[in-house]
Amino acid sequence: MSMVKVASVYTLMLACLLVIVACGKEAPPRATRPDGTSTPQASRVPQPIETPTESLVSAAPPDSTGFAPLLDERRAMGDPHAPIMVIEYGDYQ
Amino acid sequence: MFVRETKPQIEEQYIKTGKVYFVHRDFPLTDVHPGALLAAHVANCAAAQNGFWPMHDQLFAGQVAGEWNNSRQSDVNRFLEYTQSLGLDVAEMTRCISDNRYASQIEADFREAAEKGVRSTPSFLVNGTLIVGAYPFSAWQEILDKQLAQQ
Repeated sequence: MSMVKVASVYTLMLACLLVIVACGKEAPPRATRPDGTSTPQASRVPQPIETPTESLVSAAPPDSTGFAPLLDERRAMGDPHAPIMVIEYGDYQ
Repeated sequence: MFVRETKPQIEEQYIKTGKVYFVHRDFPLTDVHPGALLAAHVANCAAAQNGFWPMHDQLFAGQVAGEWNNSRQSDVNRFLEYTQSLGLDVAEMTRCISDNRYASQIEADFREAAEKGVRSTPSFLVNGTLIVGAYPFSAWQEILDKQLAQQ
């Protein structure tokens, strides 16, 4: 095979590799609330470091630490068999 | 007002008497309450130390007093003060917040609430019926007694 043909093959292979790398996975769309506004980024939390931070810190992937979900009963009071269940939806405001 | 005045009465007359099972779920409206998401994390981290309700009440009281609500380092410091004053483990709280440990829990709460029609806080589901707003105890008595009568 001539040198020109070898160079062409390598060029083609490099071009294919670049195309594959360029076709990266897109970030998932931001979830929206039913009214069209955005849901809060529940995974962004300020880091408790010594120097002050100005805003919410970078996002961390959920479930990345391997901890089990919080038991619901720890955020409840009373008899779970009571005739009435009241669920309070709040944000501490 | 609900946490300071109404909830204690509901607790005395309905929860402790076995009539009501009272549950909290997070619905952080960060667009209008910038500190809400961090507060939700702190409350869940407190729950992991079996200190949810004291922290829940402290967060509400602190917010009313203007002690936090910007989600910046000052809020973090304040919440760690609350943690210490409530006798909880500060180092564990710090780790819990840094680990983002309950992010998916909070997201799941929010998603579930939105699916059930919740749009603002406070909102309540009373045996599946949506109640929106912080009503006084007299209104809650009427709601709960009516539910009990239907059982």
